[in-house]
Amino acid sequence: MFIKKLPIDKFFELFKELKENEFWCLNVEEPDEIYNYLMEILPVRFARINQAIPNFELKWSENRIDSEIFSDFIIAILPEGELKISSLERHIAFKRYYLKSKKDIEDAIHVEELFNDKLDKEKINKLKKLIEEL
Amino acid sequence: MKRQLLKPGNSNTEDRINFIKFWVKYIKTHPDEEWGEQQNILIDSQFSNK
Repeated sequence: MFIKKLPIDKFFELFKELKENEFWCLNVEEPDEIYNYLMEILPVRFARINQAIPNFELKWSENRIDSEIFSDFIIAILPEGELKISSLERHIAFKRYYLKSKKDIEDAIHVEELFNDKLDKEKINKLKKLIEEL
Repeated sequence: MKRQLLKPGNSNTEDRINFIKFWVKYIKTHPDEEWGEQQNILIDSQFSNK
């Protein structure tokens, strides 16, 4: 999960809220240490108390591609509520041309097959070019 | 017992490898019921997406 870079006081508020909702950080315990990792552009993971999986990864957005996610998203409607996720085209391009592991390419193919007729192929190509310029 | 912590990776690959090492240590140091239940959440969610 990408979030916009936060000042330390705002991050502490976020951490407090996560803790109150029974999440813990798998990487370090103190919020200032978590903040230091984030400032070093390292990802940190949070899971429910007494669990290690499932977990979610939290990271500052660090470049144009990351930051554009905040204006190029779709809303997934889940039983528990709504979740903003990157557009399917961005999802595919990021996995296929940036992450590129076997698993990521399989994920991209899965999304392509599932939403084939709803995808803007030109947008995927534009994103591919942007990724190649990074 | 000191809580085992995960080292963040400098790249996506390193982060994934670090997590695999973390998870292996976790399953060696926690009861089967504890880690098995967590793993089931992931596996069941994959089946429910099919």
